[in-house]
Amino acid sequence: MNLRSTSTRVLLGGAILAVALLAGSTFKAQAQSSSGRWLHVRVDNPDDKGEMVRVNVPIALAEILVSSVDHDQLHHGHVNIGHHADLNGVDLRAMLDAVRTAPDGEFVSVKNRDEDIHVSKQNGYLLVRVNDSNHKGRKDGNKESGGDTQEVQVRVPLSVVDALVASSKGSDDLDVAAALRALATHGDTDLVNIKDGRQTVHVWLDSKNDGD
Amino acid sequence: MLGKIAMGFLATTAALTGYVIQDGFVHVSLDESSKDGTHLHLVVPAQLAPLAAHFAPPKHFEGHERELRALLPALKLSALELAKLPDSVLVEVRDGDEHVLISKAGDGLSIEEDSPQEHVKLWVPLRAIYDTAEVLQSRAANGSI
Repeated sequence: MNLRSTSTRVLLGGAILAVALLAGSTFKAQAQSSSGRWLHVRVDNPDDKGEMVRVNVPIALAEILVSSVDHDQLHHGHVNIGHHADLNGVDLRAMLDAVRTAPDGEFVSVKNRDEDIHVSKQNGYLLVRVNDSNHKGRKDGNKESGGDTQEVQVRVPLSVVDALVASSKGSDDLDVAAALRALATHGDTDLVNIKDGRQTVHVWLDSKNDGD
Repeated sequence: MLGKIAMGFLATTAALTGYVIQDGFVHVSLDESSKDGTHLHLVVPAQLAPLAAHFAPPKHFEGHERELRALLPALKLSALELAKLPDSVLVEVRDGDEHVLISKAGDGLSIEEDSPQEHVKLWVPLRAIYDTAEVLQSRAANGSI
């Protein structure tokens, strides 16, 4: 190679520039597919200045965040529910264990004039359905007034409940990172649907990155 | 002799150019709606962010050391993970006349805020977020913050 040649020098300079540009490509836009699982949250409240909240988070990112934070009750993917574990006398962990091991069926059914509550286990899901036809009246402290209806539907894969308690480090510990990993293996599914008057909350899992 | 000097200059310039291009620029835009409002548009080389983090006086971090140690690893990993994603809206909040949008756009993170009073837009390369978090983490580890 004759370095005195202009063409050689130009070629060499171009090669150096190309190497410099290609180096550190870690942060260049990589995979454009959204084939990973995404967790979506959408809250709409048209009564409150048209409030809307939309969150789209890849499960992989949520798992990384949860696993790498060591702060307050969250320690590298594990949440310590220590002083919350009793929840007014209810042992949360024991309850989750019981749900895990129970056969399919309805555990709780409460029906009165204003409320209709069902908690059941079916086809690998923990299902919670609540219909409260006097929710607003109760919130305003007036049990007798007719109020907005609140409808709550929660559908949690039991494998997520399994992961939450199975590999945790003690009776006060929930393994949230494992629960997220378990959630990521599921197909498209609705997790939470709440309708409270005109306010709606929707949490769901799919493979789209836009949540629309 | 002059040829060797020119070759050295060319190589250095090419390397620096590649370095700046690969790391990108931070874009900051602020437009206030009031009559004498501020209109600010900055394009700053992204390397200034970790550089500023390296030389920032410790007093700016006082009272936040515990949060920094807890959250900086997550910030670094988030930057790496975000780089793998397609362009996506991550968080959007609309409250009356106010609108906040956080999204992954190209090689960076975009934050936009719209209100009747102002429009703010910030775009930061993910590499700058990672490098800045790494500098702060290193300073936290050696006790300089």
